[in-house]
Amino acid sequence: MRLLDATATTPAGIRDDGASAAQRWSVHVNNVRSSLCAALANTFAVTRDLVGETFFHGMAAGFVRERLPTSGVLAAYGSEFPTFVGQNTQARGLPYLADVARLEWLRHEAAESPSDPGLDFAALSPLSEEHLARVRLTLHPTLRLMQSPHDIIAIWEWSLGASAERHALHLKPGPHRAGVSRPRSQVIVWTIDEVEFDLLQGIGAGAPLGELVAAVSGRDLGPTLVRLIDGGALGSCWDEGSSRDGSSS
Amino acid sequence: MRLPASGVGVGLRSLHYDDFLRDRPEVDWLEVHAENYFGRGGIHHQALRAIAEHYPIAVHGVALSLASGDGIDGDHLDRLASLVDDVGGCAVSEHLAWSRFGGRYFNDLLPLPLTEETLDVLSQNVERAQARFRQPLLIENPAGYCAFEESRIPEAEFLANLVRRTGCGLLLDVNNLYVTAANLGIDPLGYLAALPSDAIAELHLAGHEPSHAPGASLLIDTHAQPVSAGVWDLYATVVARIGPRPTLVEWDTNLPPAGVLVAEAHRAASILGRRTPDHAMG
Repeated sequence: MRLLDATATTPAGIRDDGASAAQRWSVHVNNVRSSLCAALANTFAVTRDLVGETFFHGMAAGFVRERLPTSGVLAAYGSEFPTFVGQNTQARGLPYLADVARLEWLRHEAAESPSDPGLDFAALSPLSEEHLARVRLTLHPTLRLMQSPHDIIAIWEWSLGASAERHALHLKPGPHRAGVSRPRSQVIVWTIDEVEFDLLQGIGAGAPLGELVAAVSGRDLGPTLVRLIDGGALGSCWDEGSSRDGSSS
Repeated sequence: MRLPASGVGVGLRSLHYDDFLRDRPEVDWLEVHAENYFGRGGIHHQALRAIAEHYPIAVHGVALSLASGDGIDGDHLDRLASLVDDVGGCAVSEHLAWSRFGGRYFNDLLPLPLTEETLDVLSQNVERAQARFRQPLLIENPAGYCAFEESRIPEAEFLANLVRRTGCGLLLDVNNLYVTAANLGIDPLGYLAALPSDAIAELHLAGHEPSHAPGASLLIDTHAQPVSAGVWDLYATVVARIGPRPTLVEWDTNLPPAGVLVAEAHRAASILGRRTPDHAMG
């Protein structure tokens, strides 16, 4: 059924006494379109705020026309919207917009995931240096990482401020890396540097801590690990021959 | 758990979480659009579980697509049943409508021809859902904009047959009845008389508005404003005819402060013959 295709004719067999069949059917077409656009506006509130209601609605309506949801769970709708924004010719003058939308989607996904306190630093502190080198860490179950040439966290934080208090935005040159996770009730979004980003990639690949330390020689990993634990980036620790521990989940 | 007898409730939206957690306004229960809480352990699901410590929660599905000819989605049904378990749902309701076709989901309650064939489809799907929930499903009458030439069974009779076949209950949405009556030219009191009143376990109230489309004299069920005077009158008539029923006020967009919504529920309580709601779980 081409419910949202503007060229589709109204289904046959709708009685048209009073209002016409087309007018009657268009109520449903409008309901579908407007409710899905509203769902996208809700999920991508910062993106909408950056471009304004009218511009956002135009993009959202285009997305809805092309991609209807495949499930009735609206929280799952919109994962492809950031890519759609990036391909939108009218948004070409806003090269950062797709990545801001991507960050919002990661934040939305983390919000829909169960919070988890993740790795407790106390699980690492009693271990000997030799033992620590063998330990493998896991990423926090809600952690999402992204890279962008644009200063998306600065843009995102600027957008969250009250509009009257918004100062001029000074964007730093990229690349920029963001971590999103939910170690406690609220989702946190934070900037991570290149070493931290590479470290997290290594942890995700299952490398033992000793190997990761060797890869970033010249940097004291203690403070970095503390920062990653505080940021809710790490899930648990384990080493071969013992079960995973250190996670309160 | 059951809906509080003759109680009044309001639809819960995320804007009002803090009001219900902190101020605990006096309503007998809250109702949620189930699919908004399918993210188990997510922010909304956690908030709902916290609120469920203080209020009974009714689970109102909007996307099960009970009129789908290829059956209901098993995964969706499982998630709905999990939510009912998680919040100790005091009622589970869905709609006489479809919303899924060809692997795509249309976010609306779409109309169907009312025939013996579609009655078979509805009966099978309702029975499957009820077996999963281990309790009767309440089926809501939709807001009607389209009537089909091939329909053979009046809507109220169709719902009465569904009750007879499946043992389901009914959720009579008084605003939908008002809107359908205006849009499709039916007599709302004749419709009411054709329903088995014993099966009506819950009433809904909501706001509607005239269509803004040029030349269309349709009423649209928008849930975006107060209950209209005409719907309050019809509600009073319904209560007088069938007796008091648990009543819920829905308001889903252009949300007012929680107090405005609660005041609408208290107005319903006064029509039900009660001064103030009992706050069931304090």
